[in-house]
Amino acid sequence: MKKRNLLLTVLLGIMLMLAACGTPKVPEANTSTDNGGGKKAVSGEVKEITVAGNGGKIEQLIRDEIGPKFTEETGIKINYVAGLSGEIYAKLELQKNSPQIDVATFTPGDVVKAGNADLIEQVDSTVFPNLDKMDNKYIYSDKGVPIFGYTVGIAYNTAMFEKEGWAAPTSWNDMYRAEFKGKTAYPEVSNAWGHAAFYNLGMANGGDLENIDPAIDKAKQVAAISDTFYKNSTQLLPVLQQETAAISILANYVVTDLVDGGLPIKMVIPEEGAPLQSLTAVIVKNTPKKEAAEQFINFVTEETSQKIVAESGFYPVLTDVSLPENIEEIIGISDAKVYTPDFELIAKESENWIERFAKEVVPELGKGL
Amino acid sequence: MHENIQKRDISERPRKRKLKRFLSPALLILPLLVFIISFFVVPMLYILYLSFIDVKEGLNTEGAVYSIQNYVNFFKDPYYLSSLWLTIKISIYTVIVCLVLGYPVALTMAKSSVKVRSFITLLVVSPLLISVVVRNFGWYLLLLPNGTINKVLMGLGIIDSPLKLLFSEVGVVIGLASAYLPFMILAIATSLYNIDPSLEKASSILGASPLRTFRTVTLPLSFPGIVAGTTLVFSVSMSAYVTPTLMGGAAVPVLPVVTYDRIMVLFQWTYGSAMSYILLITTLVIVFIYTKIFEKSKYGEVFK
Repeated sequence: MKKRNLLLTVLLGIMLMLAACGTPKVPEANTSTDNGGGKKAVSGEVKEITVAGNGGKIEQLIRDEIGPKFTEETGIKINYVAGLSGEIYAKLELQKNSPQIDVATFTPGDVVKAGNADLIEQVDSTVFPNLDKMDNKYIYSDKGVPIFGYTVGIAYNTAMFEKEGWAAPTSWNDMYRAEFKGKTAYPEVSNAWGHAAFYNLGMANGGDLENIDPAIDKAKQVAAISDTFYKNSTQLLPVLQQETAAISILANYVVTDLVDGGLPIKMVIPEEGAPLQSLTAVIVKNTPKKEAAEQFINFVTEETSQKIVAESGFYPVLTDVSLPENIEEIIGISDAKVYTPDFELIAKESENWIERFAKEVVPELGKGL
Repeated sequence: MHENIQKRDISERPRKRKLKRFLSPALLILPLLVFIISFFVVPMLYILYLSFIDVKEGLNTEGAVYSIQNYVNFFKDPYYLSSLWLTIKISIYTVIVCLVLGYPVALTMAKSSVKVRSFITLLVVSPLLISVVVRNFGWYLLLLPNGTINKVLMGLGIIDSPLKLLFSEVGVVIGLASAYLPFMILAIATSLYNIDPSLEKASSILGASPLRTFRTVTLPLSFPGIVAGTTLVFSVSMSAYVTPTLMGGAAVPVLPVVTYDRIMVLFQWTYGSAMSYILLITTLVIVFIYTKIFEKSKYGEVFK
């Protein structure tokens, strides 16, 4: 008797499981037929748009500072979904046929990927008049509109440098100066900042985006004097705040935050140049709220919004807006050499970089300590 | 009349009883079953499906073909194999540390009065009330090269240069062991509570020293708890992500961390899925062999 009951339970369970297996496919099929009917041209009655982007500083800027002003002007509320770019990208793919997100903010590499995967709308430059007022260096793709400018440079603790009598870094090659051993806090190549430092280190030593051997060689020297490479800012920042590390690779908007927190830190754009990038707003393919999404992106690229952006430590993308003086001092790029890298090629090559870095560079960690 | 009812009851009992016996537990576990199926089984099957698809990037499986390429790639590359081995090694270290630190505590709990026991239980469980991220950050700040521990040791003149506690296997094992120690202690303590105290008395009456009593009576009888605790700690250590990321960083690329990077940084969902299944199956196989060895040993009797 007992055995038969057990068998029944198991069978029932398997049936349920099989029934459940079918479900994930069903909604997809349904929505795709739904959607074929046509995009709804919603205009005036849109009450809310969903913006997806990174958490932390970017979230705060959009949700708490620019968003409310946009709502005040247009009556459209901003629903901000915070997540890592990988998560947002996966959502765009899974919701391809019925997008729940209207605007996403991505770094250039992800914009290129999303563009190639046909997840985002082509930008119609006539709809975005502010594009003409932007610094050309920010424009790299016709799939998105740059909203917050940033770059990646070498950041160093001025007090610690002074105490040790070290000269301020000026080149990407200063990353592996022997005297910094054990005092470094560099991010991994899978991290956006580490990624930028990596190919720039290579380019400063005769390599290019397709020939990264020089970058690997120099990165090995960097690894030798480092305790570890950090996965992300959550891990990296405490080490700087505790003054365990004196030198790091950071983006400008983090440096200003650290300065606000009382840390004597300064960012240097190495003489070989640093890649100027932007957090880019993209319109999700087939969103029914395209107009409202465009309206929002236009609002963020207006002068008033860009002034808020500048105060927060990002670079304003409009040529007419400049950084406040006190911020210019710490992260200014007006006399520095910044350039627009080939993001398309970088996106293509980065898997190879990450693999080689993990296999060839990481094992060298701490060998020179 | 009374007799009458009883008679009818008896005649209809077998069928009804059978149904009842089956129905009530089924209804009771139904909510859990639905929950597990929709939030565990289905996603797991989806991941399994993904792992057999050969798509380089993203989740777009249109026009993709089934293949075992992801698995082949994994086993062909020594980097991933060493990552898997590192994961197993760290989990085993964690289990050993937990066992060594946890057993005496569990033994103390078993031997003390109810009041003391509940107090110790509270102490043991209290770390679980704090989020794993917060706890790890605590360790992080303690273990930094110029953190508290290194400063104290250097101040006392025990060491000259900072010990490499963070960003190393040691750091990860410290973090994991401190997080999972409660599981080990509670599992062992439960099995120790169930030991009949008269067995130990009998042992000492027969002339065994306390050490011998422990070795031949208490320890073997607590094997079920040890096995439960070690498998539990081993399995959660194998899949730990937060602690190895924070405490190990780049220097300790355990498989969950490597998998996460594949999916979140390179968007290689299918390869990442295959990696997570390899991790899952490895864990299951190791746990299975381990418990079988114990059950087949001469102490197998205590598991029945």
